[in-house]
Amino acid sequence: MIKLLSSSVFSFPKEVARKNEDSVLPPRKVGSGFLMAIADGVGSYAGASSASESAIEYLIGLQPSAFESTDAIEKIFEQIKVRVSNLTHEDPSYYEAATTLTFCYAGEKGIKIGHVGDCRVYLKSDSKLIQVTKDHTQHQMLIDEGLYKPSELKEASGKNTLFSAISKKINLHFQEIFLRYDQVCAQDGSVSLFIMSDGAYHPWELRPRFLESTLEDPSRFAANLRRRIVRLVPTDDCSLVAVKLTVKPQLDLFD
Amino acid sequence: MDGYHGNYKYKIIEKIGEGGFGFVEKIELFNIDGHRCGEYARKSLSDLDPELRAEFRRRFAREVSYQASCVHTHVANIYLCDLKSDLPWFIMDLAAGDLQKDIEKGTLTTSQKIDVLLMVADGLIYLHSMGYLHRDIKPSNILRFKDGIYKVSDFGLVKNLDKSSESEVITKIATAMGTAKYMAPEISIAGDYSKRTDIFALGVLLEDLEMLENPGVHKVYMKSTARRPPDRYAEVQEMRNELVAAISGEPK
Repeated sequence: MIKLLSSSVFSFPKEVARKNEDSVLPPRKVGSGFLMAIADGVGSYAGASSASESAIEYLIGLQPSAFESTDAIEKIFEQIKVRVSNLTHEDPSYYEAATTLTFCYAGEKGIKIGHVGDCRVYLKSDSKLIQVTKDHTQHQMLIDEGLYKPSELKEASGKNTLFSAISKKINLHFQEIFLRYDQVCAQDGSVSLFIMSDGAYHPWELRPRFLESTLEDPSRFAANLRRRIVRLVPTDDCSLVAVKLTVKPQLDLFD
Repeated sequence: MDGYHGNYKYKIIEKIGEGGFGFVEKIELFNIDGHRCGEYARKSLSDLDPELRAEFRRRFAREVSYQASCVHTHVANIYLCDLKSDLPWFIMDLAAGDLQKDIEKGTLTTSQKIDVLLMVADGLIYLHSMGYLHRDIKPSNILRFKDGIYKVSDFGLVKNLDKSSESEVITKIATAMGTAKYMAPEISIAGDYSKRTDIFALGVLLEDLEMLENPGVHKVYMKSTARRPPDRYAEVQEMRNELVAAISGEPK
C-alpha cells in the first residue's frame, strides 16, 4: 500500500503581473496510487497557458484503469495532443499552441513517468537528487547524437529550444520510464520525487545541494528552493511538485 | 490589364510554376502611361485553408521583406509587392532557367560549374552578412538569368539570425524544414540551423555538379559536409577560398 508522507507544491510566474503559463497537478489520489504533474506552456506561441491547463485537466479526469495498460502513457499523450490541437476551435490564433508535460503515477508496483519537453523528474538518492528524465531540448539531442561536445554548446543559444512538445504541429515524441520501488526506495521504505519546470531547476542546478534534512522534507525543500529562485530573480515561470511517499505499512496508533 | 499596383499595371501571360503554397506566373509589366517595362515573374500565395491562411500570409510577408532587403548580383531581387490583397504577391526578374534543369540537361562545362558555385557562394556570403540563413539551398532554388548569371532565390525558409529578438528567455520548438538531401544531420535530428547548415547544403551542391573527381574539391566537399558541425567550415568565405585554391589547377 502506497502512502503519501509529505508533499509541497509551488507555481508562480516570472513576474508578478504576468500570466503563469505553467500548470501543476499536486499529488492526487487516483485508485490506490498518486498522480502528480507539471505542464509548462511553450511561451513563444499563443495559447501557452490554455495548452498547459488542458493537459492538466485531462490528467485530473483520468480513472485508475488509465494507468494499467502497457501503452497507457502513449494513449494519455495522444489524447492530450488531440485536446491541445482542438484549442484552435476556441481561438484560431492557438494554431501553434504547445505545452510540455511531465507526470508521475506512483502506483502499486512502482512509479510510471510520462515525459515530453524540458520539465524534469528528480529522485532523491542518498544526499543527492538524480535526474530521471531527459530534456527534449535541441542541445541535449545534439550532444546525445555526438554532433557537439557539451563544451562546444556552452555559449550557444538554443538551450530553450525544444525538439518535442505536445502540439498540433509536432510529431509526438515522449519518454516513458517505470521505476520499481525496490530499485528506488530508501532503506526506510520511502521515496522522494521532485518534478520541476525549467524555471525551477535552472537555479537548482547552479548549486545542486541542500542539507540532507532539507532534501528529506518536501516542505523545507520547496521553501528553500523558492527562496533561492526569488533571490536570483526568476527567468521563467517556476513550478515544483515535491513528494515523499512510502511503500512500508505505517504503524497505526490505535491498532 | 489584369491588375494595377501603384504606378504600374500588369498582364498575366501564363502560369510557369506551382508549389505547395504558391504559384509563379510570367507577366508583362507596364507603367501607368502604358510604357512596357518588360517581362517579369510574379509569385503569389495560393488560396489556402482558413486555418493556415494567417500563418502563411505572415510567412509570405517575411519572405518578401527579407528578399527585398537584399541587393546583390547573386541574390534574386524583388521590385514590387502587394501583401494586402487576397492573394499576396511580389514581382521579380523572370529567370531563364534554374540550376536543377541545367544539371539535368547535362550541358554545363567544368568552368561553368565552377562559376555557378562561386556565384552561389557569393550570394550566400552576402545573405550571411545581412544576418540571414537561407535554409533551403538546392539547385531548383538557384535561378539562371541572362548572360549566365545565377542567383540565389526562394526566401520561403529564410531565418533572421538577429539575436535581439532572442534576448528574452522564451522556450521555442525547433522544427526541421528544407529538403532532405541538403539537410545537415543536426537539422533532421534536432532542427538546429546555423551558417554551417547552409555550408553543408552548398557542399552537397558540389556533389550534384559532379565535381568531386578533383581531389582538392573532394576535400572541400568532405569538410563542408562533415557530420559534426564544428568540423565544417565556419564561414562560406573560408570554403570559397579553399575551393578556388583547389580548382586553380583545373583547365578552364
